Amino acid sequence: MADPEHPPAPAISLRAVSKSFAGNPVLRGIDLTVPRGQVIGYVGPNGAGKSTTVKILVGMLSAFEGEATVAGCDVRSRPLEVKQRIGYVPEATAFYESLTVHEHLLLVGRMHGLADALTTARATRMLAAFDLEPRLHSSIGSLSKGMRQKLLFTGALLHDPEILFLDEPLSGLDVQSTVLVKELVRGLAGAGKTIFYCSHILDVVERVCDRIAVLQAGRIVADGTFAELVENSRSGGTLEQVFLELTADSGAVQRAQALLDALGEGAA
Amino acid sequence: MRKSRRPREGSRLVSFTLRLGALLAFVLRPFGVDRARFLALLEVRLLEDIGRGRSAAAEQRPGMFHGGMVMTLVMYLLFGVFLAMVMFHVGEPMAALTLVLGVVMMFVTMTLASEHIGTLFETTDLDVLGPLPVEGRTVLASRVAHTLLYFLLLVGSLGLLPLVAGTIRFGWPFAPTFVLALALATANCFGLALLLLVSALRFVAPARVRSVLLFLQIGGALMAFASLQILPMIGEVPTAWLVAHDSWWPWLLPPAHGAALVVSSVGSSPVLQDGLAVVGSTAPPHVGLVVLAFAVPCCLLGAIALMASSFQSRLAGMASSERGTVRPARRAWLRDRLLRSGEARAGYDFLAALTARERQFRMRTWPGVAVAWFLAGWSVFRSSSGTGRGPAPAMACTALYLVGVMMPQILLFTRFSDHWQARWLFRIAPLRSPSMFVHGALVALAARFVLPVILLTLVVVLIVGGLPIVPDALFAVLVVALLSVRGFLHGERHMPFTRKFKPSELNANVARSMLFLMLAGVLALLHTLARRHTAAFVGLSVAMAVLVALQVRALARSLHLPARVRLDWDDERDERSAKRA
Repeated sequence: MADPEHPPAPAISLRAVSKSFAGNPVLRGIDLTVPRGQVIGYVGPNGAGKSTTVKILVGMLSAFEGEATVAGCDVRSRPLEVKQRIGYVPEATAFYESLTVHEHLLLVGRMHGLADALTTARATRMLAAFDLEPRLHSSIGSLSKGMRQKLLFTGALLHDPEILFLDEPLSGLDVQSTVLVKELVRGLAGAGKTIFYCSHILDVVERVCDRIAVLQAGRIVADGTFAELVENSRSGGTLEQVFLELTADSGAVQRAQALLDALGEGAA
Repeated sequence: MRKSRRPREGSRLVSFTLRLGALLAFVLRPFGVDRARFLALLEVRLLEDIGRGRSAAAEQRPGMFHGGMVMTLVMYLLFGVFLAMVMFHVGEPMAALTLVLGVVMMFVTMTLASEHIGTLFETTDLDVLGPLPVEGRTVLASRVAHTLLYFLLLVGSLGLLPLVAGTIRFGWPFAPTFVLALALATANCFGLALLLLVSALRFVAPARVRSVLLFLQIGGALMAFASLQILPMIGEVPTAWLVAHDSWWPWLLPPAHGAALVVSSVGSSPVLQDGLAVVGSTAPPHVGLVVLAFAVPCCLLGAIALMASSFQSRLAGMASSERGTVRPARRAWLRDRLLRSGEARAGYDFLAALTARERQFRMRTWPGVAVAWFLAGWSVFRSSSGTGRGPAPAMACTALYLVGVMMPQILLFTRFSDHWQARWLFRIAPLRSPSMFVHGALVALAARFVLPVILLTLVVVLIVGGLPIVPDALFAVLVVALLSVRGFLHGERHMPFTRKFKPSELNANVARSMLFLMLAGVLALLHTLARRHTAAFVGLSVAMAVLVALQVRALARSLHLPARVRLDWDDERDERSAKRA
C-alpha cells in the first residue's frame, strides 16, 4: 500500500543542476523530476548537455552545482547505491578489447555482486536473444560496432536494474536489433522500469517515450508528453518539427544553402 | 587561414618545436612525407603533451615536462659525468669518442626499446586518423618526430658534460661536430629500430605482429646491454688501430663512424697529433668512416620510407586482427583459495587475463625481465670464466637482485592500457571497496607473474650455483620479497589498466625506481659483507625475514583501506587542468 503522506521518491530528480567545463557552462539550472516507471526522452542538439546530465546522474561526474538524486539516493553522497540500482548504456563503446565477452560480463556481474553462475546463465540467455551467444568466448576486439552495442545492453541489464540510462542506444545497430531494442524498451517500461532515453533519433523517442524533455544550451525548454509538445507548438506535426521550433533551428534550409555556397567559394 | 595553424596562446614551446618540425619536414619531403599534414599531426601530439589538446571533459594526463621529465634530465646530466671523465682520461681521442657515442647509443636504444616503441606503434588514434586523407609515411614521421623531441632532450642532457670536456680538451672545433655526431648516433638507433619494426609490420601477418614486435623489443634491449659490456674494451684500443685501413670492425661499429667525424674536425689538435705520434701513426682518420657516419642514417631513412608507405593500414590491420575464440582460462582453483570476496576475485581474473594479452604490459615488462636475466647470466659468466670453478655466490645471486629491482616497475606497468577509456566500467560499477578489486589484482600479479618469475630465476640460480649457494639464494629471495612488497606499499593504488601510457608517466617514477635500485645495492653490500662471518649472516637473514614479515603484514592491512584507491583521480586532475587553462 502506498502511503499518501509519504509518496515514494521519484526515480530521478534534478534540482537547479549546473555544470561548467573550464568556465563554459554546459548545464544551466536543470530542474527535472521523473516518477518511477516512466520512459523519458531527453533530446537536444549537439552540445546541449544531454550526456553531461546522464554522467551526473550515473555518478561519473561528481563536481556540479545543485542536487541530483536517483532512486531516492543523492548521487554525490550515496553513489554506490545509485550505481547498484541503475543500468547504463554509454554513448561511446569503450571496452577492454582483450577480454572475451564472457570475461567482460563476469567482471560486470561481480562488480554488481552477482554470483558467477547467475551471471553466466543470464548472460547466455540475453546474448542468445541478441544472436551473440556464439561469440561468448570471442575477444571484444573482434566484435563489430553493433555487437558491441548489444554487449553494452547485456551488461547494463545483467543485474536487473530499476532505472536504465540509455545514451544513444541505437548507435550502430542494424534494423532487426533496432526493432528488438525498441521492443525491449517497451517491455522494460511495462515491467515498471524507469528509462532515461537520450537520443537524436526523434521518431524513436516519439514512439517509445511517455514524456519528452527538450534541452537547449543547457536549459530545459520544453517538457511534456508528445501530444502536449505538439499542442503547444506552432509548427505541430512531428517531434522533429517541434524540436526544430524549440531549439530555434528553423533555418536549416538556409544554412544548408550557406554550406553549399561555402563549398563553391574560391572554386571559380 | 594561417591563424588556424598557429598554436594556442601560451604554447611557445609548441610553436618553437613546430618551427624545428618544419625544418625536419623539409628534409623528409623527398621521402614522401606531406609537410602540412606532418605539422598538423605533430602539433596535435605536442598539444596533448602540454595537456591542452583536449577539452576539460576529456581524459588527460600531465604534460611531459612536468616534474618527472626534469628529474630524468638531471639524472642523464649526472650520468654524463662518467662520459666526461672518459673524454679526459682515455688517451686515444678516437677510442674515447667511440666509447662515449657507444654509450649514448646504448642509452637511446634501451630507452627506445623499453619505453617508446609503444608510443610509435600505438593504435588508439587510428579511429581518428583512419578516415583522414593522410599517408602512412606522414603518420609515422609525425610520431617519430614527436618521440625524437624527448630524445633530443635526453641526449642533450647526457652529452652536455662530454661536450664541455671535449671542448676543453680539443678546442672549439670539437663542439659542432660532436653535436652532429650525437644527432647522427641517435638517428642511427632510431633508424635501425624503426626499419626492423616497420619491416615486421609489413611482412608479418597482422595477428602475429604484436608478438614479433615484442621479440624485437627484447632483442633490442639485450643488444644494447650486450654492447655496454663490449664498449669498455674499446678504451684499450689504440687510435692507429681504429683508423688503420686493414681494420675491418670499425666499419661495422656506428659509434666509430661518428667518432671519426669528430676526430676529423679536430685533426689539427695538438692533443690528437700527440696521441697519433705516441702510437707511431700519422694516418688521418678514415675518410670512409666519416662518409658512413652520414650514409648509414640516410640509407636507413630511405629504407624506412620504402617500407612505411602502408604503415597506417598495417597498423590498423594489426589493431583489428581477428583473435578468434579465447579458451576460458583455468585459474579458478588458485583464485578461490586465495581470495574470498567477489570484488577481489573479479580483480584477480581481470588482471590475470590482461597481463597475458595487454600489449602495453607485455611490451614493457618482458624486455626488462629479459635484460635482468641477461645481465645476471653475463655476471655469472664473467665471474666463473677462467677460474675453473663455479661462479661466486654473490654473482650467482645477481639474477635474483636484478629481478627484484624489476618488480616495483612491473606493478607500475599494470596501470597502463591501450583501452584506458574502458575505465568507465569501474566508474559506473557499484564497487563498495575498490581496494578489494585492487587487492585481487595484486594477488593475481604476485601469483601469476612475480612468483613464477622469481621461482624460475631461483631454480636457475640453484642449478648454476649448486648447493653451496642455497643460503645466499634464500637471502636474495628475501631481498626480492622486500623490494616487491615495498614497491606495492609505495606505489599509488590505481585500478589496473585504466591509464593511458605517456612517457611522462614513466618519468615521474624514475626517482622512485632509483631509490629501489639503491636499496637493492645497499642490501647486496650488506649481504656481501655479512657472508664472511656465519653468525653475522645468520643474524642478518633473520632480521631480513622479520622485516619482510612485517612489511607483508603492513601490505595486507593497507590493501583493505578504501582510501588508498581513488577512482576519480583523473577526473580531479581534469578539473585542475581546466582551471589552469
